[in-house]
Amino acid sequence: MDEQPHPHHHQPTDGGMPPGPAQSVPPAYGHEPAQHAQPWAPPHEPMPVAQPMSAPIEIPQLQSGQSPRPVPVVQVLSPVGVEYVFMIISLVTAAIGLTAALLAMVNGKFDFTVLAFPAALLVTGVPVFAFLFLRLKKLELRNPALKLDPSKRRTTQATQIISFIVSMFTVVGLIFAILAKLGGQSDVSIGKAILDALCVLVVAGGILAYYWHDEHKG
Amino acid sequence: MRSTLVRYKIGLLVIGLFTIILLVLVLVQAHAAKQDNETYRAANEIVTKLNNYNLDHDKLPSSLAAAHITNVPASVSYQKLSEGSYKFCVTYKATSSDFDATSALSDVASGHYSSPSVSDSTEDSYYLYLPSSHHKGANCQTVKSFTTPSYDCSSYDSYSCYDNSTDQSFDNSFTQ
Repeated sequence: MDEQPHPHHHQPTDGGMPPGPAQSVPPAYGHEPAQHAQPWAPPHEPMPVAQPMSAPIEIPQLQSGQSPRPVPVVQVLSPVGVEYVFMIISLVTAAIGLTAALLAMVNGKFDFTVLAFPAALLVTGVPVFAFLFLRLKKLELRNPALKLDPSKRRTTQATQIISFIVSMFTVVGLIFAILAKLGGQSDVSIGKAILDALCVLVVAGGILAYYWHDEHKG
Repeated sequence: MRSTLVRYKIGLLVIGLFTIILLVLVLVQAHAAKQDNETYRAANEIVTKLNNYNLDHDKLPSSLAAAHITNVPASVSYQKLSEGSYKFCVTYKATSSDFDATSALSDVASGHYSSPSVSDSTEDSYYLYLPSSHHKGANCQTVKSFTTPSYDCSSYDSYSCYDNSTDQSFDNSFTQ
């Protein structure tokens, strides 16, 4: 996997620069001891730069035949990780289509103008999602270590977070609608509000439940 | 492994069947929706011409042909009821509502549960306006003409009115 550290790669643990070949590294500005401070120079004189102002820090030399250690500067997805991203995009597309269609039907709207766009979302999203889901599931069953692929986990965790936010705000919206009805600010029926919220909760909650269970079953 | 995959395949099959049913439902209505869109476009043009005629001539035409409105589809009808009112009907093949299913998603999450409905265009109005949402069948509007009255009771004293057409004043008791 591209995301796993390469044996010759250096992974910085504290966000700092990795050590390179042996060299004299001046201390960072602001950290030099006061006794090593340069004397004040008049402004018209150029300030000396890149001069060691204290004892140089020795970094071990690379052994002969070793190349300088490359530094990872771009985080890339693994090849399977890209497929997971594709799958999640198609899942979101299909989920929006499914929820929109359910909402329309719950509200008694079956006409062309209402159902055309949800149908387009479903027709596009469902086959792509089904293909990628089954393909990746087969790969996972053959190679369980794939479940721990960082790209996959990042994608599925993002999906869990988004579906959790959607579910949570749906419940917030439902409670607000009920309170607004009780306070006389809304004339929508509570039963209809519950049905609408259920449509969203079934889809978003289902996605959250599946990936939550998938990640926690070990 | 096989049983796990079968379970997933059944779930996907259910969603796939729902998708196919939805697609068939949409495709079945596509032809009627196309004809209704053509009807709506033609009716909208007629409405504009009719309103312009009403404004320009300050009276209602006896028929659409009298207002020089041609190429009227059979699904559009005009009937002059009196000097000050008329009935305008447009017949559609299918229902079209202004419910936006995708924006309803965000409405649900924000608690703004709207209850959109197909506009009831059978009510009387003072201006002919064609709503984009409609019922299946005839959608009629009875319009009371907005022609300006020929007399003016506001610019004179409270006991008499002024007739613009005859340039004469008359007793206000007629209008009260």
